[in-house]
Amino acid sequence: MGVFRLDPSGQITYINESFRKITGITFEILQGKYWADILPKEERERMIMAIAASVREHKMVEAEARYIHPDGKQYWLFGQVVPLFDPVGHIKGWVGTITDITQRKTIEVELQESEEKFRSLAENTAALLFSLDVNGVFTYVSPLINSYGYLVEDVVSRHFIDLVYPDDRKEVQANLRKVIEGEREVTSVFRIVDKWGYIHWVESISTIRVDVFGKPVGVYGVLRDVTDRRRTEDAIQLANKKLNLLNNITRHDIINTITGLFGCVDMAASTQNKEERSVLLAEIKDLIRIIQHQITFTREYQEVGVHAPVWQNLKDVMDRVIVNFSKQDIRFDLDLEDTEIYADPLLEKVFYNLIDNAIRYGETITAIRFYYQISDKGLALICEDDGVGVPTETKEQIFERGIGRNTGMGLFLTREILLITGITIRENGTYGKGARFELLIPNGAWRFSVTGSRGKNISRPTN
Amino acid sequence: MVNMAKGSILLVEDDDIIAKVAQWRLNNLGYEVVGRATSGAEAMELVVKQKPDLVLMDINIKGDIDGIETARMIKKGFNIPVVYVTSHTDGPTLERAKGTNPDGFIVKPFDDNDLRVAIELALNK
Repeated sequence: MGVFRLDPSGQITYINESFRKITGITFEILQGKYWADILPKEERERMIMAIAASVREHKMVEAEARYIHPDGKQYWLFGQVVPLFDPVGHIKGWVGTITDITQRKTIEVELQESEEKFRSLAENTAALLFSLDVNGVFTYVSPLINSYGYLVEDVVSRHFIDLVYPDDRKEVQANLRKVIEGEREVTSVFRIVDKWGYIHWVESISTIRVDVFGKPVGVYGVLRDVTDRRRTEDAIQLANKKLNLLNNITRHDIINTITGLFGCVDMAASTQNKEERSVLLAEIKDLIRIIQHQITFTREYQEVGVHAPVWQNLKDVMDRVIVNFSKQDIRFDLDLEDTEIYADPLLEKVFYNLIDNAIRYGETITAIRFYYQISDKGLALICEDDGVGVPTETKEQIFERGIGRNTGMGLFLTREILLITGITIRENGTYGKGARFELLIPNGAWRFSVTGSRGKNISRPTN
Repeated sequence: MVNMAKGSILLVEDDDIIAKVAQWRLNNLGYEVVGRATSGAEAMELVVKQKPDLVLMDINIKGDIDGIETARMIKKGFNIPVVYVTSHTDGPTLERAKGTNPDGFIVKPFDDNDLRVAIELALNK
């Protein structure tokens, strides 16, 4: 540590050997020189101000300053200066020390540069970076979280699982456990729900965080939004499924019906019995109608999943559907509040089919009621009527695409439309007392609109 | 006068109209339809009970076992000729059907002549 003394005018009156070694200047050269002159010009003013403060406040001051050694290299010095006063309070000089802190300063600068580099990387990368503690609580999240509607400070200290789509939470928790328990790296694909209730598919790569003793202290993770990729994959899968089904309908179902049609034509041509011929002609007409339905179905089915799902207000959809049945002597009771569901744009067709089926097959039907129930699985939307109901043995069959004659395409189509966004449908009414269709809308795919049916932007997510 | 039937046939077909048409055509051709099954299990029961000379088998039928699996069991257990009736003219279904060494194929839509030729060939194999 270098020691120096200054007289009341700031001229150097003493330096020790360490001071000489640090500065590279001998006392002979320094003696009588103003202390600040040995510093680079741009450091002088700051240092003079610091020393002035020490006199004013009668206390020791500390400061760091750059120093250019006579060999031309730059060093960092740490100085402490104490003002000395005579008994009446006049300054009689200073005594101080200097320490070479170049090495520490270099590390600090490198660290700062490195931090800036990584911060810039974290803030500008297309992936979301995060770290969690062993309990799965966020300890860091990169600013990309803003694009999901959350502020960094909203998320830090919250549990990671809070952002995950309810149906995927179990699997995500299991994967986090795997990492904490020592699996080197775990990659998983799951859904997260943003602040506005929209669902995003993400791919996450998680690695273990350990302390200096190798003890797990949490998880580091990278989250990449793969919603577009997933949508493309789903679209390809759906397109393949549709192609197979349409192929089946055209090449199997219609050919089957044509087989029956040819047979009935031959039978009608060969019979001499007028009554029998009349029955056969009616059957031929029915078969032609079936082919017409099959072709109509292919057109409607082709539309399923073509357009991206959207949030739809149930009341608005129902209003549009019920108009079609205004001439029917049926009472409609709607108890739906301002509920919105995330579904294929063909949702209207779903409700049309449910009402059409109820009227067609309900026989004694006078009323149809739509209402909802909330459970931990999601929102159950119920369509209930007071008709004859569905026999127990056909409760599942009614959703199948008919083999052969293909009656009941409507409910098959209904199930397919709903499945696009993971909504399931089942019939669980009591035969003889009426049909009861229950649509289960998973959490994350339904929400209440706060400002009423037209206030689409302000809504409460349901995850 | 009692007409002697050319042979007894079990019809495995789950579509009512096609079954009705097939039965009418078979009767016209001089065959006796000894029963109609709509599923694999029903077909096996009728084979045991009626011991038909030939089984006319639709590939897509009701139940857990399709026409191909039912045909495999009938041929293995009873050595009765099986003629498939199908609308599939290519693809994996047909390949799977071929694996059971069937005695004939009738492709829908069929007429009297298609039925006659396929059945006669199968019975005279």
